[in-house]
This record gives sequence, C-alpha cells and structure tokens, in this order.
Amino acid sequence: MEFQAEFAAHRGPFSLRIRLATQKQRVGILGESGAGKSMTLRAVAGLETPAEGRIQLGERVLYDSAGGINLPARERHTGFVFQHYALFPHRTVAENVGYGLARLGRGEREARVRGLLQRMHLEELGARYPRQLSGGQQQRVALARALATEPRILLLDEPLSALDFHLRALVEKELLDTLADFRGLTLYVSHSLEDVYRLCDEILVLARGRVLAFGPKEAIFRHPPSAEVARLTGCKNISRATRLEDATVDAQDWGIRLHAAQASALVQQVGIRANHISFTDHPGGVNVFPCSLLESTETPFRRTLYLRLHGNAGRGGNLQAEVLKDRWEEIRDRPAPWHVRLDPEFVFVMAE
Amino acid sequence: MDFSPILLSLETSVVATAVVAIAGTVAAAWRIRRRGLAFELLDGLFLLPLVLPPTVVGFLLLLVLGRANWLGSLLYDWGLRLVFSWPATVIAAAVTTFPLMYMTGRAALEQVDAPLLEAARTLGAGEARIFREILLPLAWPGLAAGMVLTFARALGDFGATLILAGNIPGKTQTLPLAIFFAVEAGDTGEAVRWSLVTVGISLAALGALNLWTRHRRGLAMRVVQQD
Amino acid sequence: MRHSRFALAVSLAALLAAPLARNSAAGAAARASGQAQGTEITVAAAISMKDVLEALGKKIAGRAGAPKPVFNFGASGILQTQIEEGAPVDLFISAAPAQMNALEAKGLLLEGTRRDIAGNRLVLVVPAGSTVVKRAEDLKKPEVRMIALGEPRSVPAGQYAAQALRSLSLFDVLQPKFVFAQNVRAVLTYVSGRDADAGFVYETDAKSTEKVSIAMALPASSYTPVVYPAAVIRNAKNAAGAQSFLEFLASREAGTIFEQFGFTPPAK
Repeated sequence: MEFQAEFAAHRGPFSLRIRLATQKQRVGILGESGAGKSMTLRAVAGLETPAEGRIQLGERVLYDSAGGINLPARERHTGFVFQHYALFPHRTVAENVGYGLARLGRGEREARVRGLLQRMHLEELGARYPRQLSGGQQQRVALARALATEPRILLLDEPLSALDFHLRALVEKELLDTLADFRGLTLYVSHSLEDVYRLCDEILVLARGRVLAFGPKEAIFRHPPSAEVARLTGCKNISRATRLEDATVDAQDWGIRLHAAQASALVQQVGIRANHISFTDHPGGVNVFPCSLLESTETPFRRTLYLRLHGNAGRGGNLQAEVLKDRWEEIRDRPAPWHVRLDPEFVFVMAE
Repeated sequence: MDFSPILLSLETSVVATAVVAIAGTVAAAWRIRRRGLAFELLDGLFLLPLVLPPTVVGFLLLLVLGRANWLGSLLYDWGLRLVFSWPATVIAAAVTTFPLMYMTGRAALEQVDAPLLEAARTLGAGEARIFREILLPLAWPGLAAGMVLTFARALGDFGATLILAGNIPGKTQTLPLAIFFAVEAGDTGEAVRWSLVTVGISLAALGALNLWTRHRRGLAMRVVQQD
Repeated sequence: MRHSRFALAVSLAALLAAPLARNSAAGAAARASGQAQGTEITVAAAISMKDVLEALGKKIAGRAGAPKPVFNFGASGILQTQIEEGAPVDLFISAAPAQMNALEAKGLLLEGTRRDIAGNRLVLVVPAGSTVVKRAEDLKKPEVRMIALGEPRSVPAGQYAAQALRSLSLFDVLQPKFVFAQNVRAVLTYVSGRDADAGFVYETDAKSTEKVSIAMALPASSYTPVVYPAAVIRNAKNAAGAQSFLEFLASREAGTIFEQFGFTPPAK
C-alpha cells in the first residue's frame, strides 16, 4: 500500500515541510526535540491541519488543500500511540482497549478486546485501571487500543521514551513482535537512533522542520547525504575534506589522506563510524594511521577510545573509536604508537 | 413562624444552580475550543455580572425585562410577567452566579489532559461523545466545586433579587430579603434567626461537598490498594 | 533603578496622604468657620423630605448667621436606629411620629424642641395615563396585578397605606397582590415603570414625577394624619444651630416652599 505525504504546516514561528512517499511497512522519523516529528504524526492523524499539501493512504485521500479535503481525525481510521499513552484514567484496561469499537455489537467487541489483551499479554489485567499498571503494561494497553480498530496506519510517538531504561529492551522486543503482525504502515517517531534502526525499514531524518534525508536505513547509515545527517545518525567522526585524485581524499580536520570508496569532485566532508575503526599491527596498509590514546570511557558493553592521530607533520585530529570489551583487553597493553585502520568500505563522503 | 423565605431560597437556589451548571459548563466547553480576540471579548461579557455590583445587575435586568421597555412590554403582553415573580428570583440568581460557574467550569475542563481528548478523536469518537464520556467525567470534581460555589452565591443574592423580583413575602421574599427587611423594621431577633438559617444551609452544602470529595478519594484509594 | 523605586514610593505616599491632608485642611477650615459662626449641623431626615429640604437649605445658604445643614436622608426607621446607636446627629426629621416617640421615650431628644413642621397626604398613584383605577375598590380588578407599597414595618408611608386599606376593609383581599418596597421612592419607580399597576405614595412624591398620575387621595379619616415631627437631639454638637434651622423650617417663608412641593401645613 502506498503512502504519500507532502505538506507544509506552521505553528507560530516554526514551519514544517514534509515530503514522503513509501510502500514499505515501517518508516522511522528521526530527529532532535523540536525538529517537527510529533507535528508530522499529528498532521497525518488529523489532529493538526497543515497550511497546504496532500496526504494520501492507499486510495484514501486524508487531506488535500487543493481539493478542499480535510478528513476530521475521527474519520481517518489511524491508530495513534501517544508519548505518555493517554490512557483514559477513569476507564478499565478493557474499556480503554475497546473504546474505538463502539460501532460493533457487544459480543464482537468483547471478543476482539479479549483477543487483543491476549496478544499483548494483558489477559489478567482487563478489569484494572491504568494507574494500577506498570509503565510497560500501560504501553501495551496503548498499543492494543490503537490496534483494536484495525487501522491501516499506526502512528507511534516516542513509544519507548517514557519507559525506564531496563524495560526498554524488553518492550522493544515485544513491540517488534507486535509490529511484525501488523500489515499496515507504521510511522515510528523517535529521537533514539537505535530504536529507529532496529524497528524500521526506512528512515526520515528531520531537522528544524525540514527533511534532511529519506531512504532505506542501510543507505542512510552507510551513505548519509550530509554531515548533519551523519551526526544525527550517530556518526562521531566527521572531517572537512577535499578530493585529491579518484578515491583519495584529504581529510583536513584529521590531518590525513585516505582512500574513500566513492569520492567524487563534490566531496566536502568525509566520515567514518566509531565502530568501523579497527586496530592493526601492520602499519603499512591502506588507510592505516598511527595514533595515540588520549583517554577512554566505558559503557556497560563497550569501550569508547578517544584517539589523537599523528597526522601529517604531527598535526593530526581526533577520532573516536568503539571496541568490544574483549578486544580492548587485547590491545590495551600494546606499545605506542598504535595503528588504526579506517576501513575504506565504511568511509563515506558527503557533498555538504 | 412563616417558613416561606427558607423554602423560597432553597427552591430558587436549587433551580438557579441547575440552570447555571448546565449553561456555564456548556458555555465553557464551547469556549475552550476557540481562540481569538472576539472570544476574549465575549469572556468579558460573560464575566460582567461578577464584576458589577449586584444592584447594578438587577437594575440592568429590570431595564431589559421591565414593562417600561420594549422587550419587557412585549413579554408582558404575551403573558410573561417576569418582574415581581418567582422566576425573577431565579433569573437574578442565575445571572449573578453564571460567571462563577463559567470560570470554574473553564478551569476544570482545561485541566483535562489534551492528549486524552485527542486519543478519543483518533479512536473515532465524535465531539459529543468526547464531551460526555471523557471531558465531563474527568472535569467533574472541578465542576462540582463550581456548582457548590454557585449554590452558595445564589443563596445569598440580595441586590439583583430585590430589584427584579421585589419583596413579596411568600412569593419572592428569599432569606436575604427577609433579613434585610427585618433589620429595616428594627426586628433584630428575626434578622438573627434568618441569618442562622442561611449559615446553616451554606454549611450543609459545603459539608456535603466535603463528604462527597472524601468518598471519591476513598474509592480511588481502595482501587489502588487492590494490588 | 533605585531612583524610580524611590519616586514610586514617594508618589504612593503622596497619593495616600492627599485625602487625609485635604480632609484635615477642609475640616480645619470648616471647624474654623463652623466654630466662628456655629453653622454646620447634621440633619437626619426622612427620604420623602429630600427635595424640599435641599431647596430650603439652598434658600438660607449664604445668609449671615445661617446654619449649614448637612443632610443624611434615609428611611425613618433606620435613622432612628442610627441615632439610638449614637450617630452624631443634630436635628432629626421623621416621616411619622412613631420613630420620634421612640427616641423621646429613651430621652434622646432635647427637651422642648419637638414640633411638627409639615404634613402630607397619602395618595393612590397609577402609571401615567392609566384609567383602570379610579377608586380604591378598583384595586380588586383582575387587571390590577401588582400593588406597590412601603414595607409597613419599616416605611411610614407603608404603615399609613396598610392602615388606610384596613379601614377600607381592602387589606386582606388585596394582600396577594402586594409588593413591599424599602422606601417610597422605590414604590414610585415600580409604578412609573409600570411593573406595578398601582402604588401608595405621598402626594409630594406623586407630584415629583410625570410618569405617574394620582388616581385618588385616600380619605383623611382612613389613616392617622401624616405629620413630620422634627426635634433637636440631646447630644447634638451644634444644638444652637439645629434650633435656628428648626425655627426657619417652622417659619412662614419655609411654609410657602413646603406647599410648593405639595406638603400640607402641619395638622394643628
């Protein structure tokens, strides 16, 4: 099913321009706070009206400023999961989940609610009230409620942000399972790129109300179109660059020259992700450079290394590398200088 | 002793409170969905009776509804003799208390989380259903408090009632009027008796609200304790 | 920053102090002139005397040695209570003997100063141009829905009206139609606004507006004559001034003015 959205919306001094067409099932909308992610979802749901544009889902036109169409939210048949769930506090879990099913007969509604509660592992909780549930349970109720009406598009507004950290992985796994069964389109808004990468097929990168990039997630991550997109997708190592010859660039901030797989004349920036930097014993290889360790920090599962490249004439820049903890154990006692390898496969160049 | 002021006051206050509770809540619900200068000016009009001295409110009502003017005269010819009638006590009380209900109603409705209403919309509910099932129940504590305020103020109205409804024992002489005329007549004993009754009724209304609030809180706590 | 705050404080202080200064300056001036000539007197008087007393006050203003009356108009009952509670009044003019009798019984009057200064008549008024009511009996007609009169317990005109209606055997049958006002002016307003179909006021009130017409004068035998007693209060600050004004009120010059307003000479 095809989804097309192209619209402009304003709120005070902020303006949003969206252009998005997809046939995939899960699109992530990534951006920092204030980028316009929620506003995009709300415009699709009909909770906000754009200034102009068109939104079409399959054969249904939800909004068309030129054609005078603006379906009210209640007719758009979308499933919306709000950031803080927006569960009706004065209704039970079962009543919440069944709220959108008022048009069904009582028997059918109850059956559907029961089925959903089962699917979401909420069987025992039907008679409880939202305030009696944990964060993870509330999220499942919100999802069940959105799915109950069998919408063709599911809109998730930062569904994991309100959860405690240790719950997130668990809930994410459950979310993945649930979404796998959902046959419509899912728009997943988040500022966390891990969530977006794990759960989505395509990614839309938003900043300051503008679309910076849109495409399959591997493409966005492997070949971000701009330094800003690279940064927003978590790349820590970016340098200004100019092309020297085919496949070679001069990285000015790093003070080195390296091979890049697809350099063209338009090159302005070069980047590589922290986890694509490896350590080698062979100083003479392609894209191998001497460096020194400035400092390192650890996360529960990895080590982050802050390196200083020796560069040309000793004026090298800094790189950030990430290694697994056992790799760290192997290299930590090596004598200086260390040698890092910037795998040419994973070096990417950008035009801006 | 003639108990009619007590009965009249209760009847007037209860009816006025019922009318204002509905009118004030509907007006507040209608208003909060709209923005713009025109609506802010409308707020000024809605709140006017609260700001004006009650006597002025009564006088303005008399100007409109009195037989000396075209509307009142028209109503009179149609058989609607509002001035010096019991309905006039309700009109006077309702007009002076409307701003209270409107203000507290707005506050109560506005504190209901907007995402809840939006969620209901995405689930296919129309505005009437949202008002009935989401907005009203969640705003209820604030609305109930507004109604009690309205009742207390309606019970105590003097200036507007005197001017529009007049002092007719057994028909429009509410407790405040009875107290005033007792004082005028120099009968302080009677004035004190009526005052005590008024205080008693007000305390009873406030006490009922307190009990009911505690009951609801108790219910909520019991539900939480079920885990 | 500090300068503007200081300026604000000074302006506020000046604003608050100004009325006090004005009062004390005026008070000092007044006291000075008052003491010099013993002129200012506080007169508590029934509302129905408002227009005529103000006219009389203007008449003697500026005359050498004449007292300067400061009027407090109100319902006779309330004024009586205020005087009983010690309000600083020099001269009291009541709309009925009852209030004056009460004060006399409590010894609050200056001996020998009480006298009646005017009389009045009770009339039945209707909205200007109405012909429904020509006699008291007409009040029983169904077209007469509301009859306005003063609250008998606190308004002397209402007392007289009740008395008159009782003596005409009409009070009980007309009772459901009564609306009781807190003073005579209110009765006039009700009738002139046509919310009441008839009302009982003094002749002087009826003559003060064109919006009502007099349907009839109540027979003198049906009610106690309306007299306006006046007396100097025992604890008056300016008893001499009060006496002097009282004498003026009883003079023939004042009598002419009373008549112009519709009062009758005091019953002998």
